[in-house]
Amino acid sequence: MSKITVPIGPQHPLLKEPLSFLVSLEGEKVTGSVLRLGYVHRGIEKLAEQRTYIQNIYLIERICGICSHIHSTTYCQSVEALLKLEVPKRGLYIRMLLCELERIHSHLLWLGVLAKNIGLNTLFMYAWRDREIVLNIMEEISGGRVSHSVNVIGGVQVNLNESHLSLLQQNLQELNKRVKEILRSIENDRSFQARTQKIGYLSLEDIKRYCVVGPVARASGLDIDIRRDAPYAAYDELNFEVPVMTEGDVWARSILRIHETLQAIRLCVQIINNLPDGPVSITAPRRVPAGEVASRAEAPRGEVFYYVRSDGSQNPARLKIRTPTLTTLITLPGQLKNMQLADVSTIIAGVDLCIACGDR
Amino acid sequence: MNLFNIFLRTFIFPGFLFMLILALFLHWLDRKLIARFQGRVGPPWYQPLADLLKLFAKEDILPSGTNQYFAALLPLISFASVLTASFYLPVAIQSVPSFQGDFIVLMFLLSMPSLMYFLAGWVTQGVYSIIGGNRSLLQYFSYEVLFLLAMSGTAIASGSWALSDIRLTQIKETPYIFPQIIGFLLSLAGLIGKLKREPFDIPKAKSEVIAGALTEFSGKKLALWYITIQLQAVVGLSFLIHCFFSGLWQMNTISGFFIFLLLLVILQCVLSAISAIYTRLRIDQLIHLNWHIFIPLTLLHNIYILLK
Amino acid sequence: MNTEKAANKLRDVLNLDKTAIKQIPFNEVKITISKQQLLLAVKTTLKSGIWHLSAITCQQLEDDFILLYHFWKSGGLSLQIRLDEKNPQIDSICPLIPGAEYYEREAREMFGIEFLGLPNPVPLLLPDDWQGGFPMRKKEQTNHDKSEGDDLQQKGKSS
Repeated sequence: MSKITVPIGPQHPLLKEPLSFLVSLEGEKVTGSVLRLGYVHRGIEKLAEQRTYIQNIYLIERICGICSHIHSTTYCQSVEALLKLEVPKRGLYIRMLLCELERIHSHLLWLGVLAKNIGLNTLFMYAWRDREIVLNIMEEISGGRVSHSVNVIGGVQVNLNESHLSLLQQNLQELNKRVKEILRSIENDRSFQARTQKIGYLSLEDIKRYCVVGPVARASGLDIDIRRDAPYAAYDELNFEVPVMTEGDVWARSILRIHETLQAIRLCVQIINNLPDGPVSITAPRRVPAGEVASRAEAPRGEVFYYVRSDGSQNPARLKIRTPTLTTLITLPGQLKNMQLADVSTIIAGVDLCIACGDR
Repeated sequence: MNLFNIFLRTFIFPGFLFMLILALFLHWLDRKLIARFQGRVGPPWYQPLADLLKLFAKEDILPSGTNQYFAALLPLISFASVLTASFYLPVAIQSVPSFQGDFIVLMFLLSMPSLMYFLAGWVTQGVYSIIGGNRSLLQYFSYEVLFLLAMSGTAIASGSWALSDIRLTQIKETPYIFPQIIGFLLSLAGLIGKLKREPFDIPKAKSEVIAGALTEFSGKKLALWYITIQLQAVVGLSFLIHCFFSGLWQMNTISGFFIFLLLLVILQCVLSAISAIYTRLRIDQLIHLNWHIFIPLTLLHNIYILLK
Repeated sequence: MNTEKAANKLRDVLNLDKTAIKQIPFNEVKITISKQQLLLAVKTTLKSGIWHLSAITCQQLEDDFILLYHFWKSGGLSLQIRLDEKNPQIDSICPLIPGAEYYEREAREMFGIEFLGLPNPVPLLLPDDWQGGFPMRKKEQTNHDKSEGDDLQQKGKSS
């Protein structure tokens, strides 16, 4: 049996973002892997200490393309807690709407990437075609397809009028139908199951030891969701379910994420049906008083954690960001052991890495 | 036959030029159909030709330490063997007189590109090339056998290894598609494995081994590989049509030629549909499928034909 | 056990003063402990049923280092430890919580804190041949000498 080291990354057709994985193979079986991060490290935390609180909003949005709104939401709600501001309800609802739309976008994008990596190009094309609906909605609301920039300290800076609401109603119905169609077609597909079942298994014990969050943890049986357990924005006023599965393999993660997409669509419909009237933001004072705050939110990939400390000056004294991708990256070498080379691409696609978030 | 006739038959029709045009046409059809299945528009009709011409214009560079002579020889041998194989197939005019055993010769010539593909991975010595080459060798040992066994059903039924005899028996009795439908489906599966098309394209899976054995090739050599793969598809499909559908048309007639083309297009549609629907299988699932399901079925089928 | 009860239990086990416990926004209880009490505190927290470690934050406050271990179970529980600038050493909690490895590696490369018993002490985000010291320390400055915000605010006022 020949021993080969296959370099996956930094550039590889399998990866969306640069990441270095040196996989040692014996024949077709993986015997070990070495992970190296840092190719997209931009020093966000250091830069944040040299910019004012308002300038930091624009910095934080650019940590990642797919989760930009959730990062700026968590940051803004931390600063609002330091300022002891109460954001008007309409602003909170619009924030939640964009969070959920981003979740749908992220999951459809991920589904396409998984399908492409296992060779099911048709599903890749369908998922990305349906993703266009969400991108068009987001462009109508905020002006940008991927980077929205709607959050300000004290609320949001866009408002929804009648035409937005009717566009949302129509498109969400269409999207619901299409996502249900996708779920129906892959749930019982034998070739998809053959490529994803029993691959990349993580037990509940591993999840707890490595403190994994997000769909990867929920697919192994851990029932956590920040939106339900520690509600932020106005999530305590909305009804939704948190899907949990127990198989713990890539197949469970796929089906779980599609169910989460359906729940996100359900949340969006509730938000636009119950949108309260009123202003969308409140003016925030320039100077932030001294204090510290730890806030969490549910990004598409799991729990995102922000710690902000202010010492009364115009820049933050410390901004600490912990993104959910770091928790899943640490489990990858364990998942890859004793798998075949063909499964490496399935596993890496199945954990839904967002390296820009992980490196900051 | 005078020299001019030979020149016409060899190089123009049904020789090289016709075969190349047919290969490019069938490749375009494949890409267009798959695109339509996926909800896209698909490439215009001149896309495969444009790709080929573009490849000829690119820089031809190989990693240092590669045996340049050998690396140039491999695509030439594949191209030459596939073109030679195309001579033995009667398309609408009998090009080369058939002889006993030309079925086997055709099989051998059609299998040369796959062997050369594996050697190409070995000669360029890159990590991805070696893995792709190894996988293609495993697939070669499995699916060539399946193709040969499944197609042999027709030779056994007609009692001879000459292509013209296979054709004559089908004209006398019935085209073999009807009594040997299982053999036809199995040889179609064998052909998909031979051509390394989806869902059996693990040797050149883009997300794992970049481009398999051909990762390091570029320029004119890659252009030759590209056209060889398309030609292999045309010759393979024509072989299939000859062995299973021969009684349906007459030689040396315009109508026969068009029926042949129609059958080619229909089979290509079937192949494109299969490519669009299924997920790529892993190498162990591929081997398991072949040796545990396809080969036993083929053996049973052949025994049944032998006994009849 | 929720975080309030866990905080009370920690106070009993470690004999802490009432002033060591503070509430900070988003339902977070912050407990200040000494660095020798870290392993016992983490063991007590794990026994109370709180096993999820969200992050390990490191920061500098008047030249001393402050480490914050953020736990969470429907509410937050943070353990704050102050480290002397001359001797930034502390035990690693990786034997108890393997998931802390990446957070400790990042704190190590960015601030220079020595974690005794860290299983894989290689840089996480910085390049292997990094010569620039510990980037997140207060002394290190980026090329951004003064905040551009001052300039923009001046321009905004004048126009």
